[in-house]
This record gives sequence, C-alpha cells and structure tokens, in this order.
Amino acid sequence: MTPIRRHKELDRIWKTPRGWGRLSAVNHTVVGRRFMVTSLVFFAIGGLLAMLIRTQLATRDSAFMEPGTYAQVFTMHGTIMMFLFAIPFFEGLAMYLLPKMLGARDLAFPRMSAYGYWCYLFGGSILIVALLMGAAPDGGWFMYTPLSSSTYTPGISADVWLLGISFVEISAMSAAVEFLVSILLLRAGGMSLDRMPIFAWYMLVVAGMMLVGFPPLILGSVLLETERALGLPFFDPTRGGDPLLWQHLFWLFGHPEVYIIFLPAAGVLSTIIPVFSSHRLVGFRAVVAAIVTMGFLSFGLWVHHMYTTGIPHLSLSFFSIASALVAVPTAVQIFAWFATMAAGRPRFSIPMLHVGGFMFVFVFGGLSGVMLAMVPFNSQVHDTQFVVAHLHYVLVGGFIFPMMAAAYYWLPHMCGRQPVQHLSHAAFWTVFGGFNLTFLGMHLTGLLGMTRRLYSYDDPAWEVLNFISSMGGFVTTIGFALLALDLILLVMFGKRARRDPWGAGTLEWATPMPPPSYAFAAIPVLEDAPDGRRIAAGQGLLAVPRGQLETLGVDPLTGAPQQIVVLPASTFLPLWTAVATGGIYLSLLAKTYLLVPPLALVVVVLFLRWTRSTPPAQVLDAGRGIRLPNQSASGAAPSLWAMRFVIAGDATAFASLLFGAGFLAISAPGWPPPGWPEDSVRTILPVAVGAAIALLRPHGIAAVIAQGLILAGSAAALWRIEGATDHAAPASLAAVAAYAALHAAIGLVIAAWAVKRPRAEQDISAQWQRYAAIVGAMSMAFPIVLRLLSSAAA
Amino acid sequence: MIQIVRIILGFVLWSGFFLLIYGAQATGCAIGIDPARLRLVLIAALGLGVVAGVWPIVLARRHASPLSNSALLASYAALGATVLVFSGVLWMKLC
Repeated sequence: MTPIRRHKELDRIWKTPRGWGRLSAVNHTVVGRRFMVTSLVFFAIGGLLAMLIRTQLATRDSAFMEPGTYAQVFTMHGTIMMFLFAIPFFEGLAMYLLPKMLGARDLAFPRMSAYGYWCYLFGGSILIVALLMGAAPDGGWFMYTPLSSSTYTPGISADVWLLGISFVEISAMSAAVEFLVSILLLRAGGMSLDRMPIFAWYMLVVAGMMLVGFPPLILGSVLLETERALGLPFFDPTRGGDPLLWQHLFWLFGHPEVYIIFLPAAGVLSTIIPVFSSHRLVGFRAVVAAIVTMGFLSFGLWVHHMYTTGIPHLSLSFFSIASALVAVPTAVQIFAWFATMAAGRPRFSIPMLHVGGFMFVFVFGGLSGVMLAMVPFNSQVHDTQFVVAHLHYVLVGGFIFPMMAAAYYWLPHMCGRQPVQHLSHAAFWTVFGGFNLTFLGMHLTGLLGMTRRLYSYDDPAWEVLNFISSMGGFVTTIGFALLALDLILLVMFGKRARRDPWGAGTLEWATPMPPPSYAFAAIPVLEDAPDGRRIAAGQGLLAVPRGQLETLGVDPLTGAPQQIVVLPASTFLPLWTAVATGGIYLSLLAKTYLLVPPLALVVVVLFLRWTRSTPPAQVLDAGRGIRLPNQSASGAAPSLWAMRFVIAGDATAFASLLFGAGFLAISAPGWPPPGWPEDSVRTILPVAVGAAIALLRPHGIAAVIAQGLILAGSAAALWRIEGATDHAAPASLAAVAAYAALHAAIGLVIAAWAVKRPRAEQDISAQWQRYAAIVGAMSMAFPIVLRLLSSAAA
Repeated sequence: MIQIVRIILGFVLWSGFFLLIYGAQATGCAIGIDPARLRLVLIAALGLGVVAGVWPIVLARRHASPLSNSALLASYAALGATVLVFSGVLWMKLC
C-alpha cells in the first residue's frame, strides 16, 4: 500500500465530518484544540475582570464600582481563572499532545473527552451569562460558609457557582480517568514506562491527583447546595453544623489544585528545556521521584490556608512542615532544568525566553510560599494583598509563562507555521514587565495591612502602590494583546515549518504538521527508531486500515503489544448526553426538581447507548506477524481500568463524606443531637444480605437482586430519618444513606444492563457491584460509629 | 504494575500515617484522652510509620528495575517526610 493510499484510507476512517457534523467530533486533536481555544476565551473574560478590579483600586475612595458589583467581579475573576481557564487549558493541551507523544492514534475514551468538553462549555457559559445578568456569585472564589449560605447569600448567585463548578468538574474527572488509562495502556510498541516521555509522567501524576483531588470539592458543593436548597444544616453552627467543614473540603481540593495546575506546566518545561539545550534531561529518574513526592505532599498541606482558624499547634506543625517540605521536590526539578542547560548548549529562542520568565517569577513566588508556610508569618499576612501577590507569582509564573512557551513551541505542530520572533519578544517583555509592576508592590500593600477583596481604601500610603499596580495591570493586558496578535499573525501568515523544527526527536514530531486525524499512519515501534518518513511508509503496527478506528494497547510496564483497541467514530451522543446533563443542572438551578428524575433517566439511557459500539471479541492481525486480541477479548480492556479509577475517585468522595460527618461529631457545637434515629432490622437486614450476595456473586441476576436489596434497605433507612433539617447529625446520616442508595441504584442499572452482555462487560459491572456493596454495608454501620464518636466527644 | 506501586508505596504509607496521626490527635483531643497517654499513642504511631517507611526502601533496593532508582528516591523522600512532618508529636503541646 502506498503512503498516499494509506493516508486517504485512514483519513476516511478517522476524519471528523464537516458542517454540523463538526459537533459530533470526538477526535483528540479536535477536542483538545477546542478545550484550549475555549479556555483562552474565558481567560480573556477573566483578564477583563482583572482590569475592572485594578481600575477600582487605582485610586482612593473610588466610585467606579459599587461594592456588590465589585464582589461579583473579583469572585468571577478567580473562578474563571482557576476553573474555566487553567485546568481546561492544560487538559486541552494534554488531550492534544499525549496520544501523539505516546505513539497512539487517540485517547482511550474519545467520547468521554467530547462529553467533558460540552459539559465544560455549558457550565462555563452559564456562569458568564449569570455575570452578564448581574446574578454572578459574589462570595469569593472559595465560597466560604456561612457567607455563602442562604441566610447571607439569598438568590441564585451561590447556586450558580456550586452547581456550575460541579458541572464543569465533570470534565476534569472524565479527563483524569481518560489520561490515566491512556497513559498506562495506549502507547507505542515497546515504550516501557522508563522510556515514556517526561510530559506523560507529569500527566500520569496529575491525573491521579485530579482523581482524588476533585471529589472533596464536588462533595462539598453538593452538601452546601443541599443546605441551601433543602435546609440540611451541614455548615450551620446553630444546628450542629460547622463552617470549618467547608474550608476543609474546599482546601482538600484547593491546595492540590495549585500543584495540579503547576505540574503540567513543569512537564512542558521538562520537555522544552532539554530540546533547546541539546541535552537530555539531567536527573530524569530523580525528577520522576520529585513529581511523585510533590503529588503526595500537596495533599498534606491543605490546612495552611486555615492557620488562623484555631487549630491546635501540633496539627499546625504537620501542615507547616509539609508546606515547607514541598519546596524540596520543586527545587529538585528546578536544579535539574538548570543542570540540563549547564550541561548542554542552550539556544535562547522565543520559547526559552518564556522559560526564563518562568524561572524568575516562579522562584520568587515559591520563596514567598515558603514564608507563608511558616505559621507566625502567615498569621500576620493572612487574607492580605501579600497572599494575592504570592498566588499570582506562583500561578502566573508556574503556569502562564510555561504555557506561553508551550504555545510557541508546539505552534508549528498545531498549525504548521513557524514563530518568526519579531512581535514575540515585545509581547514577552511587556507581559513580564507589566506583571512584575502589578504584583511586586502588592507584597508591600499587603504588609502595610491592605486586606484582599477590599472594595475601597482611604490610606494615601496605599494609593501610590495601588496606582502602580493598576498601571502594571494595564501594561500586562497590552502584553497579552500583543501575544494574541502575534499568535494570530503567525497562524495566518507565518512561514511554513519543516518537520520537527526544533530538533526535538519526540514522537509527536513524527506526525505530519498539522497532524492528520489518525495521527500515525502506523503505530511506531521503538526498537525501529521511528521517524516520520518510516511511519508514513507504514513501518510499524496496524499499518493496514481495516475500516475501523484502531490503536495499540500495551502492557502498562513493559510496553509490549497486548491488544488492539477499537475506538468509536464521530457521534452526536456526547453532545446530547451533555445537553441532558445540562438540563439537570438548569432544573436544579431553577428549583424545578420534578424535571430532574426524567432528565436523569434520559442521561442514563444515552450513556447506555454508548455501549452499542463495543466490538465483538476477536483476534486480529496487528502487522509484522503479530496477532492480538481486541479489547473485548483481551481481559484487560481500557474500560476495566477506567472502572477501577472511577471507583477510586468515588471512594474519595465517600471517604470525604464520612470524614465530614465524623468531623462534625467531634468538633461542631450542639452534638450529640437531642435524639438519634432508631436502628431497624428492617433496613439493616436487606442491605447486609444484598451486600453479601453482591460480594460473593457480582454477576448476572444475582447482582440485580443484590443491588435491589441494598437500594430497598438504604431507601428505607433514608425514609426513617426524621429532623434532617433540624440538626447536622440526622442530616449526615441522611447524606450517607442517600449516597448508598444512589450507588445501589447505579449498580442496579449496570447489573441489569450487563445480564446479557459478554463476560468482559460483566466483569466491568462486577467491580461496581462489589464497590456499591461495600458502600452499602459501611452506610449501615456508620450510624453506630457516629453515635459512639459523638457520645465520646460530648 | 508492581513497579508503579513501588514508586508510590512510600508515600501511600505516609498518607496513611498522616490520616492516622492527625485523626488520632484530633479525636483524642476532642474526646479528652489523658494527654500523656495520647502522646504515647502518637509516638507509637510515628514509630510504626518510620518502621513501615523502611519497607519500600528495602523493596526498591532488592528488586532492580529501570524504575527502581525513582522508587528508591521517592521512598527515601517519604521516610524523610514521615520523620519531619510528625516530629511535633515528640515535643509540642497536643491540644
């Protein structure tokens, strides 16, 4: 087969339809680009809001905005930048790059990527519409209770945030599962873990962090929305709740979030610096260990946002030391980058200019971070502009500069055009100068006592610094406008780039530029030292098109070919499923709760329709004399792995719920409650029997019966709970019982669906059946534990 | 997969002991356990954490593989983090 014929045949199989058919796109290149472009639109909106903030603060006693509007503006600025720009942008970049770097033709669950994109677009758009209508959230981007409770924030503004962010986070969770499975299973032949590109290592750790980092926030949002909508008082101290529970749940997510944003950017740096230094990354294995260390340590310092809440000194010491320690793995990476530059011959092209910007700004922000890790200093500057300056140094330094480097570095790959470095330098220096002008002085205003989110001030000493900050803010904006103009001009009129223009040698540069829909004409095999021409000539695996979308599945450790993964073609199903999911969100927002069950049913039916394209079990020719099973016959299908990761994420949410209830029992005022719901054999027995059956026989009709029993028992337990709006104790028990009932209901649907499906799909179902059984059993035992805990603490 | 597990094993243990020690300290203070007895419990947990933290190092040293260097470094880091982060149980006021 000639390369041209292979290209035409593969493109016919993999391409996204034109016209309205573009809405059915599931291809990682298309969806990844959409994520990036959409997040840049949100970045522009967030930047505009920042300008409004700086205009308000430029002078004393400014009448530019009224306090309510100002509160909406700073809340939406933070919310947009964190949730609608930073995370989705790196998700899009990773979606675009990972398969190409790993030598795969797509990600493991392309429809999930598309579904995540639509959820992100709808959720983000609703937040922006709320802003335009003057009903935007106004309680700050971390929505502290009791300010965000219905007493102090009536109306729908807080609901827009809580429901909108939960909706948007669907995309983050789906991306986390997508990345984990894709990195572990879908790689080039022979690409063992130690030969995997460093960016993939970063994303592997980041995806794991997202999987366990986001559930506490989603759970917290659900609990707070339940308090606002139904009156269950999880955060109301007058009814056994505690506002600090929100802080714990939020920062359990919020601090790892900073590293979730930084690590992909660090992955970009670890990729770019060796290329421009003409030297391999020094200390590759130490860097891998540093990434793992950072990933874990970042979960052990959430309380460093809560030093002033009255937590005992010993507890503070745990978090303070962990906060300081995280500087060590960060330094390991920074020294590895410097060592790589020192060992090689650095070329200071435009991406490296942004790397330099990162080095200066991020190291500065990191040092103020170590200062903030120390309890006495932190207590002095808590909630001041110093903290605002620090977080901008860390996030702009740690994310924006590396992403600008990434934009210039991969521009030739994405659009086939080469940076020409005229406007690029001016844009960089304007952003760099403007940024430091904005935020350097903010450290001083913070030390002078100016608190964050202050609407107006009258101290003349603050005015000069604030005016400089505001001028710096406008200079920064001009810099970003220049950058945008430069990139647009390059995309439209830039000179044609040759293949692998930087001499990188990584696999993504072996694809044509811009990349075709199928990425690789043949799946590379690393022993062949693959390059673009050999791959185009069909040297590799799966080089002969078979009329279906195929990529290679490998052994996670060794990279040995293990299976052929058949992927779904373009379909509107993700769009319709996201529309139905959006309907649930809007129904909850409008408090038309009767619409929720039918819409949930539509979502379930649509999701089940996704499974129709699962291929029958087959053994196929992979080329080069190798025959491999497809995923249905392999016993290690990506879906099986995905279910394991979904359960891990869900278990984190359940653990957070149990932690929350336990926290209230020992810390909140007004415990134990005046009366506890009585335990009943009628509720415990069916759950116990159902759980036992599900654990022993998680397949077939037995699983259906088991989940039916758990659902009946959990629903009965929920029904028996009285006074859930009176006290947090019954509210917590109701939440745990509802959690078990929901999981049993999902188990019931999956079990019924799997009854007549092939064994491989029943095995996927079985994992959920066992997990739902454990959740059910724990939910029945939990009231006893909570009662004991509460009594002991009384 | 076992090699991937070896890379994270040290910090999985660190996370477990973080939850155990922080949870025991918070719960112990809330339910009013005698401080001397609570300190003993916490010191015992710290000792157990240090002993457990040696295990991933031994595993990484014993099983040579392309990733064992990373596993060894991460395990050392986890052990160091255990000793440093929880050292306050030896001398700080508990509640």
